[in-house]
Amino acid sequence: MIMQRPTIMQRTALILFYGACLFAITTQAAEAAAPREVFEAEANRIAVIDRISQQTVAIFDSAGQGGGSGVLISSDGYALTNFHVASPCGVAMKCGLADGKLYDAVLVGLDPTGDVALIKLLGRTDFPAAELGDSDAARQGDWVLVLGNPFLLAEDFQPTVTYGILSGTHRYQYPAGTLLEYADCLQTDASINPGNSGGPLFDAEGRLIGINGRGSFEKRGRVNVGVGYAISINQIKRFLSHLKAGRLVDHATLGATVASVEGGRVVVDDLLESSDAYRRGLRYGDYLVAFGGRDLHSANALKNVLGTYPTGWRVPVEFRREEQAFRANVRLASLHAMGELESLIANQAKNPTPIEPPGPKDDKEKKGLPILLPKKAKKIEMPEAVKQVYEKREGFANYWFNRQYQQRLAESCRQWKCLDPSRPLTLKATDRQGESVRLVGDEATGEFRSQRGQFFARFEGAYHEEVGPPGSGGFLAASAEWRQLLSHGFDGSGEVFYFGQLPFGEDLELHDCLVTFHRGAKTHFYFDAKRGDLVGMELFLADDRDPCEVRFSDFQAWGDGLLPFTWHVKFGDSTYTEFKVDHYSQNAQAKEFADE
Amino acid sequence: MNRSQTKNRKKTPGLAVGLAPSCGELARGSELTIHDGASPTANGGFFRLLVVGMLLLPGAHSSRAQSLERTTLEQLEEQAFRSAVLHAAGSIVQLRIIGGAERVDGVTMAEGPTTGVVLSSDGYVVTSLYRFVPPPVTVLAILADGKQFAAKVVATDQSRKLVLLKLQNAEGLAVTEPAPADSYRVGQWAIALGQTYRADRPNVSVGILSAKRRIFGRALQTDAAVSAANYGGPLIDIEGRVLGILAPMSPGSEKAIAGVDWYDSGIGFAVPLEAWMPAMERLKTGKDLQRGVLGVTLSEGSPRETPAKIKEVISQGPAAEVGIEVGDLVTQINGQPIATHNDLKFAITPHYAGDTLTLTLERDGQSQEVEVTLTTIAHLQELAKE
Amino acid sequence: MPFLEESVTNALTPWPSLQKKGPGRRGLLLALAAIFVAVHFFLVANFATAADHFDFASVNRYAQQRSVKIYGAGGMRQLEAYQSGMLVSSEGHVATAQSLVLDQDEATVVLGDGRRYTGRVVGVDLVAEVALLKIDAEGEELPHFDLSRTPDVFTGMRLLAFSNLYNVATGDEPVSVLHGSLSAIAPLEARRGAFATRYRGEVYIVDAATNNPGAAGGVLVDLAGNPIGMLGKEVRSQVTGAWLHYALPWSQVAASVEKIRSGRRDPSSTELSSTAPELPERPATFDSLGFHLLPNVVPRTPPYVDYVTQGSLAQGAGILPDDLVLAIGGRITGTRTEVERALSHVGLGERLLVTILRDDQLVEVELKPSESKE
Repeated sequence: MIMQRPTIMQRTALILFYGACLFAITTQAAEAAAPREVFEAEANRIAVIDRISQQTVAIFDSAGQGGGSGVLISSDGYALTNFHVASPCGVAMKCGLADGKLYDAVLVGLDPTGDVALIKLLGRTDFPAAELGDSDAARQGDWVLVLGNPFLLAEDFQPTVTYGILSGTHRYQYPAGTLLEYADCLQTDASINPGNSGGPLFDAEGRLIGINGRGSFEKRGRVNVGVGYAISINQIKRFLSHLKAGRLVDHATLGATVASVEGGRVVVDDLLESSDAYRRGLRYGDYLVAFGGRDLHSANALKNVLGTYPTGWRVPVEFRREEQAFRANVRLASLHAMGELESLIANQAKNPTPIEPPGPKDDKEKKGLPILLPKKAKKIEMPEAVKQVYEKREGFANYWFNRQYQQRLAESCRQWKCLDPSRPLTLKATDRQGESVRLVGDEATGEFRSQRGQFFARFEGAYHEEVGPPGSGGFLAASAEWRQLLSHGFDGSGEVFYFGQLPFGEDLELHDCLVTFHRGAKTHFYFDAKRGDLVGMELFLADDRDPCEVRFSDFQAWGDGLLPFTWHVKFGDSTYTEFKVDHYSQNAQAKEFADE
Repeated sequence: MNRSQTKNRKKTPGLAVGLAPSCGELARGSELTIHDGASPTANGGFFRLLVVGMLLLPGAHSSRAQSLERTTLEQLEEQAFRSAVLHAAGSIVQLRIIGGAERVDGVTMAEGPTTGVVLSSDGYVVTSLYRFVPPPVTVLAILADGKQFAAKVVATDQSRKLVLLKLQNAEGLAVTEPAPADSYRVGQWAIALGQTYRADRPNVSVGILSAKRRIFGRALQTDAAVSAANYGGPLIDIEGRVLGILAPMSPGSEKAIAGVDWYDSGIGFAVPLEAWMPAMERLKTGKDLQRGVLGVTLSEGSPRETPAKIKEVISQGPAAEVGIEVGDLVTQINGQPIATHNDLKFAITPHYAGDTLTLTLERDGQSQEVEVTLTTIAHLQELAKE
Repeated sequence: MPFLEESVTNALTPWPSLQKKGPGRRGLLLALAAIFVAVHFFLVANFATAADHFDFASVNRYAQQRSVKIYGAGGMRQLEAYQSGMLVSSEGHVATAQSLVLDQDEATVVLGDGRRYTGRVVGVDLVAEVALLKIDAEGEELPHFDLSRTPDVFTGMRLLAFSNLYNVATGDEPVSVLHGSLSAIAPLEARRGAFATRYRGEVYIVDAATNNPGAAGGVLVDLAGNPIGMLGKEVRSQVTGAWLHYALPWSQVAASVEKIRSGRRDPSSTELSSTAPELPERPATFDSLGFHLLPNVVPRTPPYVDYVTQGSLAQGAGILPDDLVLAIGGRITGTRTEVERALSHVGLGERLLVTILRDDQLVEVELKPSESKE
């Protein structure tokens, strides 16, 4: 039925009445036009934006053709951006800041899987840096600010600021192949357009919570549709030291696949027996309960959280079998095979997607692809300032930075080169059972004697896979590598690089990790992140085996340096031996103890 | 439910629930009264809790008794937006375009009306160039109160994509209030208004000021939704004052309606109004304004790095007329230092043909000043043909 | 009654409810007093409710618990096989947008907590393009949006849109939320073509990109979580040429659901009171009025008077050739087509006010047909 319309008279009366009401209200409203709180909030936001604008970077390739956005995270010029922004720029790029100045910048580290790159702006030590926030504390609906250089609008280097809310947290966006995976990312309706890539997502207080890099685009052409994604800063925090090390970093795999089943449970439906997960006790049919402190209710949830970890990271994993609960710290393996990342990057560099102007385009746009791939820069002579801080090396984005970290480790480590390489080292100790322990080694031999027996090894070429003592994972080789590092430093044979920080030890505290390849074995040396002491090592005789792990503590003066007086040797989940050193000696007579 | 344990639960006035049972359901829903203990969103969330007075209650009533209520910042802002819109609404007109093209530059034009802003009580109205290329047969202006006027095009600002109209026989119109140029702040509220969907009240889009000097110093940028729904309308601040006039501009193109590519992008442009008022006075004479050019090209290089060295001087152009030579380095314009191509572009682009600038040049290590009067691109093209 | 509605909404009172209780001719004063009291109490109630529940965590949880994701047919012709919806009854009714996703009369409904159900299509309101699904929650009382609510709606109000746009939220993830403002309350004038709509009534136009793939059927709520409307399909606006982000008003959603539940599924019975105004059976014509316009030579031919018939009403009223017809009976006319449309609203023999432009002056003339002429 059609509703009866009011008559003219009724309408007039109503208009008058509501006019009066309206007047009363609007007069009130006008008086209170904008309450103090509104002005204060606006002023606060303006002040926050003023501050974070200074931290935002407009990135241009050397030819000034393409680019994107970035954000400074340290006063000495480290800035985050996307892999897909930095990669086409090559080693050198130009960065505009809100001070109106253009700075040279150099590539430092690349994370092609996570679409993150670290660059360093040159020429200042007092760059305005963003405060890193906690993206896990961010909630759906939080106000956020997006700053950046969409469509390279920032000709005067003043960023574009857009305002919105978090539309979702812990989102997952599929990779293209294995690259550019957005795991556990943030979703925002603050407008993000091509060119915003690599730029910062800030919370309302101006703390950096993400790096924008992606949007859902469909038939609208390549412009914002209210659906942008940012890589969470908590993910980047794990990778940061690895990127600062100048590396081409890789993401990780658990070595197991899982499926969602009834009741929000996650069951292991495939498992590599060579994986650390298997060695730590995970079995086919087990239910995964938590990963890295995050409860799991679906297979996607595991994929989501797993994507935020670097290779080599150890993660607490909780699982159940029947009514029994287990917990283990599982070491994650590399997502890509050796050299695979390099070739993937090379392929991508051959086919960069050009910047497109905004505008209605046909429907061919694929959804969810990264926002901007700038044109490949023309070959342009590297600026002198950049040349000085760049070193090319396979597997690295910029090895120069790795070298700096190696030097820094060497300088702060008080065990460094404190042994005389020309003399054998003898260690006499007492183990927990009160039995005496002796360890003797020189360049070519090693000997370990304890209540378990006497074990001897001669080192020629690669370590034998079964180097003893049995059940130790190769303690003779490990102690030889320890002696090698403390005698020769980097001058020992083999390849060395700084990995970045990794969790190590019972509490999975972060330690600086130095990797060496010597006599066919890979060794991780762990340094206390604050004091610099060498507090642990892991020697891997094979990829599919647990390493021989040694933890060093109780440092005491010895000679010019400092040596550990407690050794704890582990293999897998069990302790092989733990002993307190009575004394170290480097007498010329190498076989002094051996002959006793 | 253990309501009592929730930290930041607010007390519901019994009166309210009693009087509004329909709202009570929401009020009583237990899921709504259980808050996160830590409530991290209280700081940065959409809904920050503030303790404020009930300013918006009809004052005539005695309910002031409940003077202290908790309401959110977002709610207060909502009311402030409303007041701002009311403040500006009286000087916005709907413009019905009679005739005009259906497609321009391959883009299908909107069929609806467009928007204008009243600049003087005797009927000068500014609108955007959108729908004015080619010029329509006529324009009918409809005020919010229903009054109608025939409107004539006075002149066009081709550089900033604005059109000055005169409403015939108008008097006593409500005039818009421009916000002072020195009040612009990146991050301030910016509300885009159009009078497109209906004649009696504006359509509203809320955003912030995203940047101040875009398109080489000619436009403000906002993330409020800008499109044919509000071209020609005002971008206002939280007090209802006009920051700028929304225009179909694009950094990549000087075409008349280049901005249509930017719909939905969260990138919209507005011509700052206060600084444009002198240009309006110039348009009143009936002569169009064009972007001013110098008549030179610059040596190749990176626009953001390479100094502004003259590579070519177009003969008989403005630069040639005052003796600027190939190889001269432009170091200042009107006293502002010029270090790069972009600096030069920023210094010249905002000016119109006919404007006179003071250029400081460096030639053979000597510095000298010249006064140059800019011309139009069309004029330069004519010269090039000769 | 657009002006009225604005006044009402400015007074923070839901117009629809007042319309129903519209004052009688004689009880006007009484009604005014009653309304004033109602207005005031509504204000108090509204703010008080708000005061208790305005933190986002609560509003978000409230809306998420009532929002659903819908997966069904589709995937052909590059159409999405997913969309959004909302619970509207405790026994498991789900309101959503009618689309090809529901073609199989069944669709998978995923609740906010990740539980999956098969939803059976109860019915469809073809005009409003609202569909109603029912899931079997086995006697469980489900949280839902209240269809009887009459929300307070005004231009510029802040809104939150909950939907599974782009199917971003998989599994038990919460759906996406976008913030925006109510840009306008205006009739839905979508461009014809692939994205045509049948609905022509008033909709809520939003300034955020709420209408993305998969968002149709999602809920639009106010700052307190009150439902305001249902997100519509992806359409382009005829008025602006831009993508139109809009929602069907809550009262229409409620009416459609009610219609479907009551079993009136015949499309002919789903006429919308708010859409088509009644047209006269015999409208006025150019011949009856006695003036004729230039033929449509270009798409937007201005409505210039070509010639006036001798002795006609038009001639009597002083209409001249070359006059530009700018309004007929209060309806603005920019093209010949619009003049024709305006005339269709005028009954043959009715008085008619015509606004014309002549020598830059607006002139109003009145065409008064005498009874005898008829």
